[in-house]
Amino acid sequence: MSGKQEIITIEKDSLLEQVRKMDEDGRRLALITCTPGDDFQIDYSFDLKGELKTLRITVPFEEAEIPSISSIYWAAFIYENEIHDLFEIDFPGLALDYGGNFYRIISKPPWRKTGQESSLKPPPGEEAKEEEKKSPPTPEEHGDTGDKG
Amino acid sequence: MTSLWLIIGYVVLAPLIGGIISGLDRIITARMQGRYGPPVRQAFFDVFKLFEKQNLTVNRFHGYYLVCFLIFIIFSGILFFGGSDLLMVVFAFTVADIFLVLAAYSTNSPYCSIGAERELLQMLAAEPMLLLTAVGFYMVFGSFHVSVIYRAALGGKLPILYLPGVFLGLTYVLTIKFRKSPFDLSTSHHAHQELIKGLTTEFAGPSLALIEIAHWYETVLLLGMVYLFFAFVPIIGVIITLFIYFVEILIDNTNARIKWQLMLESAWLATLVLGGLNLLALYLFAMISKGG
Amino acid sequence: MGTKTIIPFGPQHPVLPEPIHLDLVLEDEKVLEAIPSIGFIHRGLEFLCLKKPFQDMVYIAERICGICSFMHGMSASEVIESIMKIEIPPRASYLRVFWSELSRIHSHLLWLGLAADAFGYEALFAHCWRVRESILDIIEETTGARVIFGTAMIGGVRRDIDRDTLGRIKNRITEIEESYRKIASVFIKDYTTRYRLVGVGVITKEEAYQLGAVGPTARASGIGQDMRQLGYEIYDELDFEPVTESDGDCFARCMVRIREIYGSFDLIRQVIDKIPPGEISVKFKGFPEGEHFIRVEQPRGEVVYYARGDGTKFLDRFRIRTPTFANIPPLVKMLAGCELGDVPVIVLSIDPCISCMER
Repeated sequence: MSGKQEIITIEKDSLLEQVRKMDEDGRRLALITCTPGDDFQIDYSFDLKGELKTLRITVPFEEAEIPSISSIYWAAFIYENEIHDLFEIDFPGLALDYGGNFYRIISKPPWRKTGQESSLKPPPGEEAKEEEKKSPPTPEEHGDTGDKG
Repeated sequence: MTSLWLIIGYVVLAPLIGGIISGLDRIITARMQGRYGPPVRQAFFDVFKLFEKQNLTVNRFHGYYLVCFLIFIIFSGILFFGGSDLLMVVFAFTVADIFLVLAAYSTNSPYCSIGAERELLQMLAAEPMLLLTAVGFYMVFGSFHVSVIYRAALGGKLPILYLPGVFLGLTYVLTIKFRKSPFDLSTSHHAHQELIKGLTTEFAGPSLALIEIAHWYETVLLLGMVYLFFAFVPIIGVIITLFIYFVEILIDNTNARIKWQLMLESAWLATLVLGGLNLLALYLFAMISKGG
Repeated sequence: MGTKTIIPFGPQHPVLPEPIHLDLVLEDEKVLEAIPSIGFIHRGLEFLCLKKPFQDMVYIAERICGICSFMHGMSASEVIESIMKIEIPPRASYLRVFWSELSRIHSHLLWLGLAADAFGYEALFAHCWRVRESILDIIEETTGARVIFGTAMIGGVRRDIDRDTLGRIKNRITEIEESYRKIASVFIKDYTTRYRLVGVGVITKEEAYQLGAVGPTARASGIGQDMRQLGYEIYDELDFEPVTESDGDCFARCMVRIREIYGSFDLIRQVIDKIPPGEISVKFKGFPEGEHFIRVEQPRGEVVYYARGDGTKFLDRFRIRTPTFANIPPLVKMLAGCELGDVPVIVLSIDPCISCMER
């Protein structure tokens, strides 16, 4: 119903090589997804005539750094900037680096925090409490994000 | 004596007539677009409202330039309806426009500056034809004076018969002067241009109202020039003039905005072909009749 | 002359009521470079989806966009249905296609109007939106709402349409198509319209593919890529051809949309002819476990939905890649070297929906 899909888990070090192979096969970069769980899972999905092939790598929360693929797929800059701003993962070698100003959000994005809690979801029925626990962003935090730009 | 009354009539009545024309314009435009449109008096409501607003000017020259713009527009109208030199009318009109451009430049806003640049290009496109019109009248009537031309026209020497090409050329550049689509490059009646409102972006409140009023004077003056071609029976002249304005509205509603290159090329081509050939024919005709 | 001016374009620009900001580096009227920046309306909807039970996600997804709202809701339902292996009844599939195609028509008509407005053709703008209004009337008649109509739900659709209404709509569609044909001919034939569109913002087939262009932007450059060919819902049982043009300029992008509207009218007629009787939704139990990608062809292009569940009420990850996001890199390429007067036309030619893009 939604075309053939395949997910291949690869090592972070072989990412550039694998992506280059995708480019040689004539595949189109469809999307890059970042999923926080125990650590970050980055999915690079490539499309060829309706068939979706996904390369999956995992990076730890600390020192999250992935080589940018924007030298191969220039259009990747937009996805990588997005992931940088929302998940704080660094992409050395970005073709067009917004330096954290791609999304101009005042408070820090919540993704990383919940990721580290290792469980994204509050247990059923306790959502309300979970909401209360979250303190509103302090002025210092506002200043932090402002300094980055 | 009549010319004095005409001048007073122009200064007093032109805003009224211009405003009504602009109100009718909006209704006709709305009907062409399948809309209902505002009441005729809407143009006046707008201006009165603008006068009540705070006068936000970017710097102090800004306002002076605008007042100069208005004064020179009225002045060129006085020259025209006072039966004075047609060349003077054209130049006073140009000077008025220059003041508007200066006002826009003085704001330092990028939209205004590029709008001003485009206004200069528009003047460049329209000016040759306006001058040719004056020259054409001179060749036929032997005078630049509007009063002489008008009397001759009333006496049966109908300008349109001698200057059909010039008239068509003038109609072409009128679209530029009225700032109607496809030539609404420097500023348009709608604030959704690539330059926002272009030339007039930085004008607010009373200053914008001044521009609006100047535009009414301008409209009446330009329509007056059109009328001069048909000045033998007043009622027919007025009908034809209004018809020309209707054609302008029609053109406005059936064209996209074009870029300045095409505007310049086409306006000069129209000037050269329509105006130039007409004058050439007049010249040859004069030669032959002299020789005969 | 020769000095550089920087003109800010947006986030509040009357031509484009979308909060994208472009810094246009100009030399006189020539754009040397365009630097986009976005992020004015990031709403964190992907994150919100994780905080709500997975059934509620459909409502959030519908509010991602105000134009292709139904298709977002549909895709969100589809992705859960695929993970949970829910088979929806055929009538529901047909109805989903029916509303999808109506959405496509009204979205394209809206775009045509905005494009006309961008190149200063106000009358054409008004007429495009007048026709669009009658499409909205049909949507209102069948769903009770005009833009965000929320009829998609996990397991089918929420409302049925009776046979009389469908028959009446079929006649109305033919009338609307007639009035649309007149407008379309203006776009195709009018001199000034062509002058503003032909040869503007050209992007070649190779560039478009490499930069990941989707939807009409890709098809206008000759890439025959239409996600409807994947055969989701019942598109594999319907007759249609992806519309392609080869020039890759604004006119080609305009023509693709113009021709797609005819295709959509045709698809609606096919749906009305073929729609089977039966149930419109199924009940389901349990929670989603597993992951899946869903790709749907929206008016603006391919949208990708990715969801992962671990067998609880809440999802692990819910990711949406909207077509505008993929079309921004091609846009940056198109803008370099164009003229200032062409900027609004080029920006509009990818049909940007920034609030979709930032979610």
